[in-house]
Amino acid sequence: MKKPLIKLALGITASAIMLSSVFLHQSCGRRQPNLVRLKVGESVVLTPIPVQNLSDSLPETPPRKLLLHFMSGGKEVTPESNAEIHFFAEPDDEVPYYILRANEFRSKHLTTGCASSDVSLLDNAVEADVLICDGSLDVSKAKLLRLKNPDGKMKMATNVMPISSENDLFYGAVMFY
Amino acid sequence: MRGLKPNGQQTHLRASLWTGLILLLSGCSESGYTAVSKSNKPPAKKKAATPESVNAAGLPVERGAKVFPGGENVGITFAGDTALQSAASEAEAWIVTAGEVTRIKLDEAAGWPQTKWQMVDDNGNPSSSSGHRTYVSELGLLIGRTGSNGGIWLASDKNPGKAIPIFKPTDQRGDSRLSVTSFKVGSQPYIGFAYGTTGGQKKFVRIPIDKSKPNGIDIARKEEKTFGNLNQGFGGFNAVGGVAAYGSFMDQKSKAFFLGANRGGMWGVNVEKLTELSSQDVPNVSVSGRKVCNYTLSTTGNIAYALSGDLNGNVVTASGGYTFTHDPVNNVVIGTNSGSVTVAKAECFAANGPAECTQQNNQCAVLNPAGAGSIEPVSAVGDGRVVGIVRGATSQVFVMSVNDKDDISKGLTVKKVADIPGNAYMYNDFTGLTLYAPDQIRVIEFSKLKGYQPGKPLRYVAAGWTAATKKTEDLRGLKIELVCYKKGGQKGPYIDQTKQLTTSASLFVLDPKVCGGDIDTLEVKVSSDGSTNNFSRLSLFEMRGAQ
Repeated sequence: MKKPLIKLALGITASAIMLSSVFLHQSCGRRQPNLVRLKVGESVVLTPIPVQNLSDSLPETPPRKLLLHFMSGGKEVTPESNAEIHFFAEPDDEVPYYILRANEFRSKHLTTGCASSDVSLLDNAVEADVLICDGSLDVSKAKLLRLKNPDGKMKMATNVMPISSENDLFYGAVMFY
Repeated sequence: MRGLKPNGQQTHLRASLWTGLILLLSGCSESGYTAVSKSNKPPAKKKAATPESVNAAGLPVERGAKVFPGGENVGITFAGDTALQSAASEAEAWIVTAGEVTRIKLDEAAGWPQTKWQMVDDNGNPSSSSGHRTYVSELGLLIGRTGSNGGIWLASDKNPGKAIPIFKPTDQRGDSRLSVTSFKVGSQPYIGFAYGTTGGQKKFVRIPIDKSKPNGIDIARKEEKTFGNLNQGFGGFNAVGGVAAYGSFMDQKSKAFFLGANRGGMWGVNVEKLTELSSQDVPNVSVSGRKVCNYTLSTTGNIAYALSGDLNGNVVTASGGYTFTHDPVNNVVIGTNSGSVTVAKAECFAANGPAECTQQNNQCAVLNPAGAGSIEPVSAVGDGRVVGIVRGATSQVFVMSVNDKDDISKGLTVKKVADIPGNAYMYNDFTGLTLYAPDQIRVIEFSKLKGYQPGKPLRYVAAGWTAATKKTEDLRGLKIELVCYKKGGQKGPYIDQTKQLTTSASLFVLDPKVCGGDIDTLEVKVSSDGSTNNFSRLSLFEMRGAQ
């Protein structure tokens, strides 16, 4: 009897983790904002990053391509979408994020916790958001959460699959209903 | 050429009784620009005329005392914000989101005023797309849209509130960005654009600008040419792919239109000859591999997300970069890269520049952007300022200025000027800097200017201009021609005065044999010499005369 119980407990835990990952963007987006959002008319002086810190701040990471496969109703929406991913700030503009592109991951740049991205597919048929909440920009932990259709309707992903990497080329597969 | 150059006429002029009149260009017959002249009171006897004005950018224009040869405190200085401007765009930034265009006048005193256009389809219904690429033209803002709902849209004051489609290619690939530009061949202005075709080729199209035609372009005279396979770029870089026109840089002088893929290969078109360029047409192709702070320059492949260039036609890009722009006033390049802003002396990108540029040697600096956010699209204004955008659900627009061009370590001052709803695009010139200078003719009738005494012969006319940036600038890319005549009489040919008027903050006495005696009208013609100009578009052009 113990083994099934353990399995059940593990299953519940896994489900909880998955559910929390889906809704994480609501909460993790509010953590550790380290950028100041200026008001119109306000100014700031940007000063050089000390030379000794440059190597840490800007690692020489070769550009990488992101290849995403988008599935809808069991059908691939587009065979290949390696054009680009635009990261952008969450609609909740209280929290500023770094903006990155998925094909140029530079791990130290994403330190604010979360980022979302807007994927412009090859045929412009759909857009999707990618949320990375672990703060490391580890693509394997990226979650594709929402998809926006051309009519502007948002769809939540029902089956979020991690994006895996292989030889610096990243693959993702996300199922939508 | 600072101050007046009295030359041979000075003795004669000294002997004359000076009645002052100072003429500021206040006519604007053919340019379409509204002119305003201000009549200031004559200055106190021992004070030179030193009025201050505020130009359209809100920058105070300081004008020092100018004393005429042989005279004292003659005349009245008129100062206004209308004088010459060198480009179709004044100090403006055009921000384009999926379906909306916002023009921000970079005028702090006026509160950074905005004008908006909604992008509409052929039926006037709202229409949005993605991946927009832009260029500021004589007609207004040209917007190249992506894919099956692609084509060129125009936002202009002629169509308030609505940005309209003006041309739609039938063979634009669904994933292809459409990079748009504008240029002149001889005296004929064009719009031009490049994209990837459904047939897998690179394509360039040019259409003459003809303001008498609908939407200002003569589609019947459209010319187009397809080039090689989309996957063939400069130097063996084959990553041009379906996004062959991700970014672009138009060098007005060489007529080279360089295009690039998203961090892939580069290619280009000679827009005059409609021929494909090679890597050897990149003036600074040899800089590939050079380290400039956090960048490794690359001019043929693995280029930045977007392209830019300087006044010498050098392509300004680097591996791993996002966008770049060249600020011609401070002669620095500003580059962005997903969370960092880099400022570098322009020489770092030139073929004959240093073998390496480092922060230690104060040739470049990687700035911490944390105070502003991740600035990505950047575009220089041409008056010492650069517009930068933090993309996002709300796009934040900033103006940035180098604090000390000789000491880059002092960084950039960044000021927020607007929050624009929606995620901004534009990865090329969105401020109008790289456009050729449009022709302008200004007619000045002396009789309409205060201080002029009809019937008295004009002794001389002096001319000069003042930089809005408070700095002395050398004029590049513009030709200034003058002609003086008596109204109703015969008008002689224009006389090229470009060499005499190269430097700002000075006045030059025109030859009295040409502009003296029984004349009452002066025409100033400003035109492009065929290249991108660096003239501060808000500078004042000043004329003084004496009877």
